[in-house]
Amino acid sequence: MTPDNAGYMEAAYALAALIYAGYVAVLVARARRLRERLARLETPPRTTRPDGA
Amino acid sequence: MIRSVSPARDPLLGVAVLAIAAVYVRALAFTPIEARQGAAQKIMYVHATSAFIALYVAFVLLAVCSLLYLWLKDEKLDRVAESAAEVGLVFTTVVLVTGPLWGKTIWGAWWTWDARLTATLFLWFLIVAYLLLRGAVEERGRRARYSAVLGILAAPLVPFIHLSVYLFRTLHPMPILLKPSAPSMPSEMVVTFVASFLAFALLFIALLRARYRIATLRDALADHEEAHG
Amino acid sequence: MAERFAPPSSPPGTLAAAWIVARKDLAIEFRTRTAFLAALVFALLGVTIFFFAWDSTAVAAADLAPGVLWVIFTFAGLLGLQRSFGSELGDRAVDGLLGAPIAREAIYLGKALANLVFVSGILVVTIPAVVLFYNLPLGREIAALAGIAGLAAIGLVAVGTLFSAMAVNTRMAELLLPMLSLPFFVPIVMAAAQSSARLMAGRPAAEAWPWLRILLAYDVVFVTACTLAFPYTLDE
Repeated sequence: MTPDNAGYMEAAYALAALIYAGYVAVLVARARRLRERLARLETPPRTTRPDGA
Repeated sequence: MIRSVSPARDPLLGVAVLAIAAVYVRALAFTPIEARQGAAQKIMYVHATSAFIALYVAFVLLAVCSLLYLWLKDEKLDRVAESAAEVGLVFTTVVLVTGPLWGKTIWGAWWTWDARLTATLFLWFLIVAYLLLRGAVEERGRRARYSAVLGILAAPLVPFIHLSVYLFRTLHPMPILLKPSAPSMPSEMVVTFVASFLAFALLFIALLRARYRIATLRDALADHEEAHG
Repeated sequence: MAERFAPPSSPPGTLAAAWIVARKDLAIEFRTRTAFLAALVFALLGVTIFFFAWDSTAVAAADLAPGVLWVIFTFAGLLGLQRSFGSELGDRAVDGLLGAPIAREAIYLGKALANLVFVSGILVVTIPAVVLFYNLPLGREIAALAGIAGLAAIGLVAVGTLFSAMAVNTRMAELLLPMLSLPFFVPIVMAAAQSSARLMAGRPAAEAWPWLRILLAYDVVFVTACTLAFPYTLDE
């Protein structure tokens, strides 16, 4: 007879989706942080502002 | 000039996510339930495919790129190795999370010290150690050399762990799809399995590329900051 | 001292150079003895602490002792390995080693040899201590046990020496060495514990043989791989 264990299956599929989606979110956040750093490096005009504001 | 791309606008990653979604729908709604194991058998479509990619793609890529790095000293190889390790860690984590859910209902235990389980767990530990090592070395050339040494040595270790635990005892079912005789699965399940494998392979490639671009951007920024104070 | 380490007229061969490096490390260790004594006391303390975590009515001594022995050995070995390259950090002593006219592999083999003497010294005291404290009837099997101990020590030292060279140059060296080494010690601990358990339970030696083969294969693979990999852990 077929055991009733759909709950385990649903949990496994949900957790797998959560882990993969979480990693994608981490990658997006990291890429954004790096792009912001890049923008800060490239945009400031030559005028020297030592406080870096 | 430093090129920047966001994973959020990466078409390859978008296609991969859609493919995974399609596989989820097919596996959950349009694939028959196995009579003896019940619905939990469908965990295999996520678990076994992720395991195959983690071990035979990510981990092998890590070892091969590590070896080639020590030979060719090309920073690109180091970045591929780094990316393969991290994406491989995500896949291995999924394997270690979904496996016990299947084991609990089929074997009656969340965890057993079976050869495959133990080898996978230590694969996970090794990749964590690899990433920790990378984080603990400041200088870029040294970081690449050290992590390459670890990436190479880990390759013979995993078979050793597998072999010693196998000698100890083993429970894990043998691979169903890749054995020499015809796969012992109804064709609908085989289609789902193969589709799932292709979708997760695509996800791996997309994540690897996104992670590689981040590594490139980070290194380019470091060069830039060094050059311009 | 100075003339004992005076450079010979021509650069020594790899093995001779390894022996010189090992002698240097052992001379330092013999002068101070602190690391060895600390590791030894640590091992003996470990053996006794395990005893109090043990329900002697539920588990037979012969079933517990092999696990205790090899786990303790692994951790005590880590203490010794930590110091192997740590001692070269002060005054950048490692520069003197790198400047010497010897092959890089010789530095590794010498360091590994010194570490092998270190962990063998720990085993020579710890194995009888376990046999005594756990009241094991050990007779003729002691020779086979010594063989297992030797093979296990070689594997542990081969991998540990390499990782010690890497870990000292990182932040959090004390944490990283166990993180890197312990996964590599798993096959050693398992094979050594399983084979010595067979011997301590009085089973025929043939039952321990598959495990000994794993130990032997491990030693061959990792001594070779680590010797080849070591030069890459040194700065050019």
